[in-house]
Amino acid sequence: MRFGLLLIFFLTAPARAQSMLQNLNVSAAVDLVAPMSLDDDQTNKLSPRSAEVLLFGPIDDTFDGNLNIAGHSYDGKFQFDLHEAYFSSSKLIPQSRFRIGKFFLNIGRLNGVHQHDWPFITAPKVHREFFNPGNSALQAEGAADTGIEYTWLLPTDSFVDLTFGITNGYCFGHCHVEGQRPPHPTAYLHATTFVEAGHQSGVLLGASFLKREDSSHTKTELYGIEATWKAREGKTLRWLLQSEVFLQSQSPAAGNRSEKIGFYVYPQYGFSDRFSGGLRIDGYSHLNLKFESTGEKRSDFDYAVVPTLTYKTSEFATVRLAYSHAVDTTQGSGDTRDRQFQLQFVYLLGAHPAHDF
Amino acid sequence: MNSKSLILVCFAFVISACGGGQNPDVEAARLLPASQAIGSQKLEVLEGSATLLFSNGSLTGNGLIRFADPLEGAETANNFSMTFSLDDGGSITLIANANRDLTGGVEFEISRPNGSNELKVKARTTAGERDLSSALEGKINVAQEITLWFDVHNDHSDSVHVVAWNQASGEELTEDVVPGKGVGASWGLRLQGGRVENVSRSEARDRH
Repeated sequence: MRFGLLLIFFLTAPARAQSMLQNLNVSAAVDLVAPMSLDDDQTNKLSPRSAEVLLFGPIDDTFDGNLNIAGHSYDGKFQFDLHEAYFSSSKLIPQSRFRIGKFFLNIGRLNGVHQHDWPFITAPKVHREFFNPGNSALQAEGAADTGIEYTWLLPTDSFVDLTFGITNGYCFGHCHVEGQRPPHPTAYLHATTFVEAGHQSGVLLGASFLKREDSSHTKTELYGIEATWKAREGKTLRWLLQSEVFLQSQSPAAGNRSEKIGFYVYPQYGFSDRFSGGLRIDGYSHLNLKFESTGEKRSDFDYAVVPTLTYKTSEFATVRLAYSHAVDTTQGSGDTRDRQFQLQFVYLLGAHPAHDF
Repeated sequence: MNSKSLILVCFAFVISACGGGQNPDVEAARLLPASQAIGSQKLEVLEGSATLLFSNGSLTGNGLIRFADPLEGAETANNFSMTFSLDDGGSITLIANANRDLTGGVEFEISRPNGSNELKVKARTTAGERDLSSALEGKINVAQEITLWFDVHNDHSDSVHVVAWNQASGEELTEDVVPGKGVGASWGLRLQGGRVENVSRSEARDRH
């Protein structure tokens, strides 16, 4: 009997493997950008910002797998790296899903979405500074790490999702090397709820909290809220309103605690299912910046206004044009302006995974 | 929010935000005597006022100095250019992103061991140290005046990204990542047997 079962198992193995292979999805995404700065022409060129190859699909009846290899332009060279690699399941534990591996942390709105899927070209300053510090506005994407993330859909009448995550914490955001062992892993919490606002319209609201301590004992706490409203008319996304606000408190082992706050708000109107226009407004401030010599409080506010036009020939090809007018106003220093036009071409090959709301 | 309100909000941002106003840091620098400077960078002496000697915009001797015009902030990326010469057995340490007393910063210690024709360079923070000396072997003539450029990217998440160039050849000498970060916006020098002819700072050269 046992021999018979084994024989059946081995004889059907190629068929099962074939079935799994048929369910394997292969996708690629290429993101080309051309910044045209009015203040600094050193980076004015068309170049591939990122190129991703994504494999995803069921591993077996219980688990799904995801492998994402992405290349980015860095220091004049194009380098491929492991972007995401995780397995996940929504079948093992009722009302729950989890993933284990390397992934973009599910906190806030933008951090969980790949750069080429954003509704605008560059990261708002708040996202860049809190999730990818040290990277340029054009390159900044988000914070990815290796760990475990568990999401629980609460058994309530309304939709409430709670996500808990614990990751290694060796690196957060932009790192040139993996980094050193921190005293504690990075931990985060993200709660979201969805509210229907009529036929083909709804709002996703969320709140995030992240806590980490790096290897040099700098403690970081991040608090955030987000809102995304979408209103459709037929196939057309008539209105999109997306906004996030984050407050970061950071205490180095030796040195003063810093508190920074930032936000962006992006309303977008869809003229048709292919053509849309939006205006992003960013704000960012170091709340307790001080003059070095006297210790007096120093006002600091940075803002940007980014009108953006998007044309999609289909969901697989996007052309985007934006103008970014960013101004850094720090008391006692002259205003620093960064004005640039940006052109973006994104194309997707193959089946692209579905996105959350 | 209708489109008219949105335009008003944008306009309010543009007119309300302004980087002008008094800057006590700049005012403090302005009050220092013109002779108390390396090149055009005015400075304050923290240690060694009896042994440091200013001469025609250069500085020699042993001591610790802080430049009067601080960096834009602790978490910033800057480039530092330094023209210097070293005595046999001497060292000069460039300190960036430090507290007012120049502690807690990112340090580049450049030294010339006794009887050696090679430069030794170490980059360090309070959390770690990297020896960058091997990248400079045979590339710098210590008998002459040397100009090095240093990038200190203190705006990454957990570590400092450092890059060094030889100004004479324009060649990138080394690039490394030092654990930890600098915690302040002050910068300065520690001298122990050397002469600094010129120092300046600007935006980071390496952009990413």
